[in-house]
Amino acid sequence: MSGFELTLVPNHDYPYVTFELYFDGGSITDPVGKEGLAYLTGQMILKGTPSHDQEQFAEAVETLGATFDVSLGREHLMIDGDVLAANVEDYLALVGQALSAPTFPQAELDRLRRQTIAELEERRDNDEDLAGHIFYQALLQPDSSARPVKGTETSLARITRDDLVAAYTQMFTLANMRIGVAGDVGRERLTALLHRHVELPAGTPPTPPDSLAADPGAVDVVLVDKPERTQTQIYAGHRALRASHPDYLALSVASTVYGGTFTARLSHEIREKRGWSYGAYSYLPGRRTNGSFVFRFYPATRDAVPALELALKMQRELIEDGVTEREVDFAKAYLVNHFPFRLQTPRQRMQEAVRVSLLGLPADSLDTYVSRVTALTADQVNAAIRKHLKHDDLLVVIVCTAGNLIDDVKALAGVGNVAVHPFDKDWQH
Amino acid sequence: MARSTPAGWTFLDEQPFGRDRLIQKHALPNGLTAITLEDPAADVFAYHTWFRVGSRHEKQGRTGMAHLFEHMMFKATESMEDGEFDKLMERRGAQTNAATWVDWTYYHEALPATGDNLETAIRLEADRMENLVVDETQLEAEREVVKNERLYRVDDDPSGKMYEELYDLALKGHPYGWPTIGWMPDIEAITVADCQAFYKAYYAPNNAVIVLVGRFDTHQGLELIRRYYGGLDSQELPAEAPAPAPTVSSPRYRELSLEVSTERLLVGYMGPSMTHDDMPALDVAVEVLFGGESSRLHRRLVIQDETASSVDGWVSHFALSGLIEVAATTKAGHSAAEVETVVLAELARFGEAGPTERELAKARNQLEVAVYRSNYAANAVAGRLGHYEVTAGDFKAFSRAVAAVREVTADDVKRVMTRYFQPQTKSVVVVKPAKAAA
Repeated sequence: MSGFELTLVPNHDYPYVTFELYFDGGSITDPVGKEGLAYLTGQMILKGTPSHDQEQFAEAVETLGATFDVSLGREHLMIDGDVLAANVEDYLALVGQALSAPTFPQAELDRLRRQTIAELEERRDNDEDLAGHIFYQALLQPDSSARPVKGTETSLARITRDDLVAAYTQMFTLANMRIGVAGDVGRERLTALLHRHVELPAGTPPTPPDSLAADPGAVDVVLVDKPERTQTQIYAGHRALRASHPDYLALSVASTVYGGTFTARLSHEIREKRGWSYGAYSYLPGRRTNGSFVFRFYPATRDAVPALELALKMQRELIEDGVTEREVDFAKAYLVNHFPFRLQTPRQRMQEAVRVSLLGLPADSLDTYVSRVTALTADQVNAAIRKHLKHDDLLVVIVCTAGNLIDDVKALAGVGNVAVHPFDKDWQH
Repeated sequence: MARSTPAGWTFLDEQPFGRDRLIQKHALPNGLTAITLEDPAADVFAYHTWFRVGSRHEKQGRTGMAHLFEHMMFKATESMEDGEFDKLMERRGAQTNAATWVDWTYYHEALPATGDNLETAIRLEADRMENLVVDETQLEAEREVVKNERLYRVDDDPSGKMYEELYDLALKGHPYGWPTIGWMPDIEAITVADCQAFYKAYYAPNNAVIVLVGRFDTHQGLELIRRYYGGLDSQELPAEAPAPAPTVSSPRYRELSLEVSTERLLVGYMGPSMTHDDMPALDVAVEVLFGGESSRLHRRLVIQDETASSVDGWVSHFALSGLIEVAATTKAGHSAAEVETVVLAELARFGEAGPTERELAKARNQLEVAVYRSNYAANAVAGRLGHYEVTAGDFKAFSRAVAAVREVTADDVKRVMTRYFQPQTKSVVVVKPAKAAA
């Protein structure tokens, strides 16, 4: 077996090994109308192999002192797990069966579909999860990135066992796989075990995902209407550059100044000075394809509109006035000095190394990170802000009791369309 | 690694950690305890300050005091302006935060092991232990933040609300019965004088434990701690009123109507304190019942019956007797009552038959892996040492608990199941969808 990437961070402090396996192709690859296919396919590898049914498989894994979980993002499927070092071979034999020979029993598919529908309903119970879900659905539409990871009740109902087999065949190939391992195992033994137990076709490298579609062209607001809310959950932002873009680091410094730390502008004004929200942050998620610039906070209903007005005004000032040299120096010091925490444990060192590959970054990205951040100037950061941030092209999603806010939100300067979306309905593109 | 006891410190205890490391415990004459664990291979260190005061030490009418005060500790001191602490930490790349729970409050910084970072952390922590400015402006700003935190964690969160109701139902009148974040009217009632009295009463070197883990020199670290804390006076700590024995002699029920999609169930049984001899067997029992997809309750409710989408269980590891909790979220078309009936039957069945040898081996392996998982990051290790030192009275209680889990037998599990999962001692909170109620 060859043709896949293996990153190993050996560490023999404890008899313990941790694994992460990535396959290119997350929800972004789901066919329109069959959203949730990649999610169901990933989960179903745990639901039966030629020698174990679902219960036997879970029992076998957990008896080894191991975990084996599958999760799906927009761009990748991830398998992560850990195991006592003494049981690595038995564990990889089980992992190999799940990867190489899943049987996709129809009864398990039906049960998984029912379970997933229940989880979709429960997401509406948590305001924070609900706000984040609707925000990214609305932000990324009509791009394929917006396909909901777990699908919808309607789309899940359309997915057949044949669809799973086809999706599995496409996704689970050596060319599509990256493996990261950290802990008490040597490279030679690990490679031999992987060769022995994981049998996948060579496959072909994946096709690049879709490009970005346009932003809305105004400050569009979606009020996700839920009864009897005493507090709101507010997400605001727009699409932004991918992690491999040359300006990504400079824009990260800008986001750090705006809302990346506890003393940053947003937290200082909204939390510290006014006590309006327990947290107020901005971030720039590192993605291979569709990045975004996001800021969020969660004020009580009575403070929601003033807090939003202030955050929008501060974002406009960030773009129009830029950041100062002093702020840039502070943010750079924070990012450089914080860097050791990203590499603290063997698992983190493995994850960061795999991430370089997943995001399509230059191979020496981690080695050069500190010098690249140190070399950034305030002019470069301000140029990145002017080029990539937008104040009149934003999406704002607020989980709230809409009747309490709608008139005041409509009256806010710069706000375009204000839509009300019932909290218990799927987002329709 | 050789023991290193600098001048002014009294050596108290030590224990090997991992292959070649050593946990050491020392004390200053003013009562300050320091636990150190060097890791020469690390690039960072974690510095924790644990105070033996949590929400259980509060008075009725002033619940939430310990947590609100935790927020105040990030404000100005006599020599530092408001916000300076966070700025000094962030410039150094620190991970900084604090937490309050029933038995303790702790403050932590993790910093790169470079320059004057260790001395800065020690200097700032010693400063705010003694010289905090507690005034109206600082209190009012943090009061609003804490009220928002309560809305976020409890009032608009069904899970937070359920737990608050369960502890109120099962332990009303007991110091674990009120929420750590406090009842909203109490948060609103706390005064500057309350904060000042609380600070004076509990924030003293003889009520604190410093935990230092990561890359540093033990001798040098202790010398720095002595330099900055050595001049602080110990204080007479308030006597803790003996907690009433929590007794539930007949089942208690409470029903809530909230904005949820399906019914939810939360059951609490009276459990032991974390140092009780029954705790290892209870940890194993809970792992067999609820740990992972092959656990008894997950298999029964989520896989076989499909009446619940999730089921979990925990044992409180508190200084005093806490609760053993079982939580389930039902699937549409199924009721919390239906799920509760099955939970009780499974608990009874397990109590009678006990675990199989395979289940015991699985639970031991899972609990062992959980220990390794938390052995790498300095902050996680420091947190564990601080929690056991303050809550169990001895940092070594953790390794004793790990060793005890390996010795648990099927008979031990049967015994604790019979002792603690008694139907008449249960308290049950059920959440029903508001829509259905309407």
